[in-house]
Amino acid sequence: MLPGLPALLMAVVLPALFDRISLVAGFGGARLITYLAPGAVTLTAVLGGGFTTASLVTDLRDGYADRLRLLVPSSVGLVLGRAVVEALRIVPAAVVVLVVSTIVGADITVGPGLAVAMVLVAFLSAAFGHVFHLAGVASGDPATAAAMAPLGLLLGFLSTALVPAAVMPRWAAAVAGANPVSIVTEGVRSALAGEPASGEVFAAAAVGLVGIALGSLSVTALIHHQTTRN
Amino acid sequence: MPSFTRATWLVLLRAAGAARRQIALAVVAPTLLAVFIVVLFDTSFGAIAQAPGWPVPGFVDWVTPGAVFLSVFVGAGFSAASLAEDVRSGYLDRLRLCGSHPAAHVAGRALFEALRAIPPAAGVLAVAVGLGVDIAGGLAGASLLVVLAALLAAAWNGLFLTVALRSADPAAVVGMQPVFMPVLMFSTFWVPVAFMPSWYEAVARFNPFSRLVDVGRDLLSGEASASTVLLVAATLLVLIGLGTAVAGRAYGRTVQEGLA
Repeated sequence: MLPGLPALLMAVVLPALFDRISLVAGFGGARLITYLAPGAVTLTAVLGGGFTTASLVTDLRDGYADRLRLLVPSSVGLVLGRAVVEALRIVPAAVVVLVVSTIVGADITVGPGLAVAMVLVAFLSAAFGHVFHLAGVASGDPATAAAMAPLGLLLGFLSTALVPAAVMPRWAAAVAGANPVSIVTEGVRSALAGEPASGEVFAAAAVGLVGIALGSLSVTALIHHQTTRN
Repeated sequence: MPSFTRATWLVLLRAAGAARRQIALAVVAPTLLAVFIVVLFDTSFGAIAQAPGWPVPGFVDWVTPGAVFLSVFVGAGFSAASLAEDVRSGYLDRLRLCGSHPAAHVAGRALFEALRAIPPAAGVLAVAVGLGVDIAGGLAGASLLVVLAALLAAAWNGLFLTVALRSADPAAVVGMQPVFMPVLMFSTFWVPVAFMPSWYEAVARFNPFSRLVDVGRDLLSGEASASTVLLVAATLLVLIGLGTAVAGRAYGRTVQEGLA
């Protein structure tokens, strides 16, 4: 549940503090909590990222991965297994954030979109976990994930998870437009609005799957490079 | 055996020496973190300043005094972590054999934390001025705000010093860091009470930190009354005294348990 705490706080505190931003031109008319709820659900994946990084680095450092390689030559399983854990572990936290958001006033459409939204968040969690894995394997320090925690905050705030790009400064709107977290957020928003088969949903799924594939390949290659070098 | 004043001074000098060796962690990081958090919120929620009823020209104008105090919160625990290490390594025990005054270890560090808070507080104010914040209270108002930040640092770090002395674990000190978050979020740090729902407003009004931020805001706008500033400063001084006493007591208990 801990990975969901920052997002949960966002879902409760930010709409209470900044609700009147919805009166500003460009916001779109909806209440802040309704706009922000899909963002908070998505941010569960990025604000609690890298849970399995420490164990991956420890396995590599302590020789456990070496012993595993005697049984299975490739490190792909070591990496993909953790991606699955990252994907699954985030779902309960995202569900709690969604439920609490609804309690505090978010307007969510009940239907198959809920499950689709959870799948998108799971994809993002697995993909984003690889960023931590890459940094952890490169540094060889299990504490890397903790040190990288502000990255999730940065990606979350510089996305359309909390407010529309129209009310951001121009530079931030440009960053938000190119931020993959924005693409996933828009997919989750569309799914929670009762449109689980929209273009936004497919774009979000594509970002997640490509992220998982690229991340898995990169982490596996880095592990291979380090072990052959040693 | 050195007097209490002399011992406090020596502890302060030792803490200052450690800070000089880790200047990035001691001074630069709190400044950057406070600015980083405010810039992030300004990016996402700065447009709220265009909403009807917003009392000052911009979002950053409103949050600047809070950001000065935020630099204290995000930098807290620097000397407490080293104190925990001193307890764990037995360094404090050896000092005690030399007759060192126990309270000096707390008072010296609290004084150091007050002084360490000044550069980040001034740095955050300088960045705010660079971003176009108008400080109508002038240099006097800004200086008094920095003094309040220094007093807050000494008071807030009392909590960290107590934990350090009881736990003898630097990780426990680091784990205390997020305690400031509810203090800050449920206050007038980000928006005026008029912008809050009634339940949130009730909490914010009850939160003493709101009072501190509001006085800081008055200092920058040049509308602070001397009596209010003195009252807030006196409250902080009482909290420093309490914090030092509680930490000193924690030290005494740690020593007792060590002897048992």
